[in-house]
Amino acid sequence: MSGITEKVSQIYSFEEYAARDLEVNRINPIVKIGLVFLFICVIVSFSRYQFFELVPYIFFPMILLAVAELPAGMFLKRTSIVIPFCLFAGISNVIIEQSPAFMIGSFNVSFGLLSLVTIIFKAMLCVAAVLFLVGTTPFTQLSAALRRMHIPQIVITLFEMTYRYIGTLAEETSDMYTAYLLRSQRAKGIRMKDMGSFVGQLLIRSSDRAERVYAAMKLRGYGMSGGGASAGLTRGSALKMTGRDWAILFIMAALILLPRFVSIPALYMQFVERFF
Amino acid sequence: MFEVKDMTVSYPDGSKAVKGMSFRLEDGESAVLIGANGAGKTSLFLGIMGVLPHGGEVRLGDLVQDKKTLEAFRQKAGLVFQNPDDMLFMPRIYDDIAFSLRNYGEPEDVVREKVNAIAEKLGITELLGRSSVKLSGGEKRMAALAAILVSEPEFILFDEPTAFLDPKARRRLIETLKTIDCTKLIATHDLSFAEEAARRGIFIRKGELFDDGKLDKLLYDEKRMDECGIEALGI
Repeated sequence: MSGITEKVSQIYSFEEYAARDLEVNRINPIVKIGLVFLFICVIVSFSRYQFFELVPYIFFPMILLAVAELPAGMFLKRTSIVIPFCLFAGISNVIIEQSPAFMIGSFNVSFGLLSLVTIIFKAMLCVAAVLFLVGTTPFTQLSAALRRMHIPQIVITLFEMTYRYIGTLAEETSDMYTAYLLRSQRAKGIRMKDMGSFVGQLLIRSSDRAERVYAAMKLRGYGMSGGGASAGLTRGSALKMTGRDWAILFIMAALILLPRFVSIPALYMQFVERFF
Repeated sequence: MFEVKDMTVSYPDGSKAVKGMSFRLEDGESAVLIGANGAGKTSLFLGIMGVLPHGGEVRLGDLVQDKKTLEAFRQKAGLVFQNPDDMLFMPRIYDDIAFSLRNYGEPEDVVREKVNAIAEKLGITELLGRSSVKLSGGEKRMAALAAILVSEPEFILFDEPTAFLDPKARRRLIETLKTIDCTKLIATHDLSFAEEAARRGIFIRKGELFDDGKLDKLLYDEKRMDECGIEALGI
């Protein structure tokens, strides 16, 4: 299996985790989407210097990782994908903001460095929340929940099609890339002179393939006017909120909001100063 | 009863892939559609299912396929594509098989029951939680077949079902096809498979009906098969 297909296989492997019969996987997807959205909003709301206020949020992914029985190594690897982007976005802060924020021993931590670390930490927390969502919720349930939440149909269709065609496009790319390498002596990648025709052919082949996939979908009732899904893949009506769902939503929302309004590190410091 | 009368299938550019095909299958009958590469087998199937525009008449029982009846027609007829990858687009095989049932508005408990039943029948229960990316050609073929059979169609079109299969998977497919009761039209140029799959053969050449008759005679007729552009059995 080539690297590209392997990567797609890894993306779809989340579905296998989501399909397991675990308590956390059985939570209503609307609740999970709502909580993940709230979590991301709260994380984003912290300023770039509030690193210590953000630290308590590390417990959320750690606990959920254990509850959802997701492999920690894979989870960490996926979460760390954002680091280069954050470095790119925040590296200039280190140069511009050199005034000292605090000292760790003899090492002077500048506001620039603090903001860089905070940006990376915030991004990793947000990605972890999304990974948790897709690792515990099957794709069909996710789209059904979005439909139930009255997200515009066009957005949901776009989301469904993108998810589906990633695999299609990757398979075509993988096949063409393998065939190219086998016929190009000692080439480690696609040569620039061949790149244009490679991408062009890929586009044509992917388009053909996408048409066949779409035909297969239509033939099995996709977009039926009178069908239960009414132009969708999954029905949202089955996802009614129960008392248990509301309870989970409120308790978890309170736990997410608490560190936003009560500084846990400050409380901890007060506790240490008073008793030790 | 399934019937096509004077059927013409055109590509979007206006060129004709199928010209004036007519034949009829009785309820429960199996026939193979035989023709060389490019003879028009897939185009005929896509025309029958209303994917490509067509002229003439396509009838399944009392239902005549046209724009108004297309949805009803597609609920009664299924097409198993030549490449199973085209049919397996959901993240899990379970969702691929459940796809049509969900679109037809079946409740989730009925969907689960039917998907599990068809998976058990075809011996693919262990594949339900997996992604199609990780399956072999034979497994994909069975999953694609399950995706069609689950909605219990009256009539199924199979486009080159033995493509990409090794001998063992091919044998398994033949045995499975024999257990399917509905009316079947199977496109192939694999003549040994055709001989096992049905008694009747409909031959197509350059988009036109070339012959229609019993396979045991036609498949060994070297001259006739040569005219049709395929190699007779026993050569």
